[in-house]
Amino acid sequence: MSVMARSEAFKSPVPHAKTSREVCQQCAVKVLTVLLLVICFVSLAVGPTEVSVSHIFGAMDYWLFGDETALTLRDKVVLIDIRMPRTVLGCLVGASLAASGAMMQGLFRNPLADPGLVGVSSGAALAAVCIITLSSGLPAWILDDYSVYLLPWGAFVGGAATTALLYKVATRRGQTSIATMLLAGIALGALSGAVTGFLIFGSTDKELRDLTFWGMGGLGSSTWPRVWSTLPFALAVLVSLPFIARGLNAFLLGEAEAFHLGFNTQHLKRLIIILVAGATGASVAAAGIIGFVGIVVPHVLRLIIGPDHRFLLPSCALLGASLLVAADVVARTVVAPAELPIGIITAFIGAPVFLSILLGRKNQVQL
Amino acid sequence: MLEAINITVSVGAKKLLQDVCFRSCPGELTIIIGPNGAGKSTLLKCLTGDQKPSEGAVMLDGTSIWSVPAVELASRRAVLPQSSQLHFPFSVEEVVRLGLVSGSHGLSARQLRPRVLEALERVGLTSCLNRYYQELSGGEKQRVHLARVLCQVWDPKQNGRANYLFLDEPTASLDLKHQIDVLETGRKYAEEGGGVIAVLHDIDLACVFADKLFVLNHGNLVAHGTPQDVVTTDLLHSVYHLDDRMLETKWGHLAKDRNLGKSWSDLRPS
Repeated sequence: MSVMARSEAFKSPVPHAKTSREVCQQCAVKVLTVLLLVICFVSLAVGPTEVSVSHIFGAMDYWLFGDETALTLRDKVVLIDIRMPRTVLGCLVGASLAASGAMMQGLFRNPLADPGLVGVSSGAALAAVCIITLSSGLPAWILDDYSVYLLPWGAFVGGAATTALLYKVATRRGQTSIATMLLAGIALGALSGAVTGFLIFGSTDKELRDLTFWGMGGLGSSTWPRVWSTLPFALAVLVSLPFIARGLNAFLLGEAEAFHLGFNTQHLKRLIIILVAGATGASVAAAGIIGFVGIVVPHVLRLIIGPDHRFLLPSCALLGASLLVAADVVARTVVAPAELPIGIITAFIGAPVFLSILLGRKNQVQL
Repeated sequence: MLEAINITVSVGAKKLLQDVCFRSCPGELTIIIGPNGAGKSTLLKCLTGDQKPSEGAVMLDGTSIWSVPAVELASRRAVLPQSSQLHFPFSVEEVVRLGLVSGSHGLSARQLRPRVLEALERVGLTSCLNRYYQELSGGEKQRVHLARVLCQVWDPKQNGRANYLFLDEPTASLDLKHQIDVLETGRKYAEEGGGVIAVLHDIDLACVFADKLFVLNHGNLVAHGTPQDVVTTDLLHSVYHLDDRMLETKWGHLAKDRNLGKSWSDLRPS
């Protein structure tokens, strides 16, 4: 009897009532998956050309099973060649940006770190501009066959170099100084801005047009090859999320503490820097610099489900994808047939949401 | 047994530690004392495996601590940091649960929560379970971390081998009662067969709780042994440069009264 009582007592000393945060953690991924599916459907359905709902399912049929009978040629072009790559690329870019924002904030142990804010994006952008303006000097066979891959890989290298430099500058004796990091980010951003301006100054008319279109940001020029060239970088981030979540949780306590808890901090750091640089670089190459996704999405989710990366990272990827696809739908419908740069929309949605959260919760969550 | 054998740590031309030997046996509470800049933290970093000494070796049960993988090391020793900065809105429960994050504890998912609750009970913070970590006072935060490191190496003895608990100035932000509580927790851990190594500034507390004292000064080990043998007027004079007047009052009294070091339990506040 007493043994029973003791073991019962050990199992649950206090009855476990689930906190609201725990309930949110359990539901977040399911709810956000449904949200993403709905938004993707809307993204396929909405546009200057009317497409009936049954044709969207027909397009899915064609895309997944190769059933051509379900689709007219016009709808095939609109859905398969224009809206589908655009939606998929939006998902990849949004998920990459939001997830790498969350990873970066974990790595720097500061909720303000963001690839856009600390200069990783501008490093990637600089590399991309270099490639656009200087690639004409490359041999023709590279340009013909590989030009679509040149941009994401170049932006990846640019992003990786910037991230590594940033970490090196801001870290002294294992402690990463956030102030130094932000200042270094500003310096790197200014430097890459200057070099970018210099390159633009000396570029030809055609290069200038490429640069302007690309620099405004947006998913307007989405094609399947562009999707394929972005996919590996985005997939690398998404696949690795479950493996780095626990390590990142420990990392929030500090680098030494993460080591004490049994994590190989050097490996973890290197892995995260490579993943963030890859995802940011590929996103910048595919859609230009899109701000606010990497900082607002993780922040909003952290307030709802808490900072545990096991739940936070997948939720960020899903909400980031939803946000970017939704922003793209808005960007291409409000002034149709013209298009707004998508960065304007994300800032319009992101900034007020961010500010209202800060106002409403300022006593509870300190930065 | 955790041993440091003739370790030297140099940064440039400066030697932070010079030829220091250290030993912590299971069942003992070992306390490292010394003035600021004596090398206490550096020694602790070497012992926890954070820092590789320039010369010498740190052995955990006869194996070099550098050849033990981080995950295994995490199941053998836990470190209570001097202070932790955590800028994210974790709940207290989530912070304590981080002690179980590496998965080397052998608990099933259902057993995690009772362990967390038991750890919080030990540090007297059960009522704070669902509060935000950032809302707590400095002392409460420190005790939450104590619960976290206790979770990490819960059993003082595992498969016949002792686990080790490192406390880096654990009393810094605590009031008197909780200073004693945290050292008693260490004391109890040692009595159950674990090894406990603490860095302290308060010589009173060190004398009361320590089985062994190690005194560092300018990177050198100047004395080690039981508190009765180590804390003498000469030592206080030479290491802490206390003048005669101060020795006469507080510290001299302490050093002369050998009984102080003998039995910590007699002095425990009731």
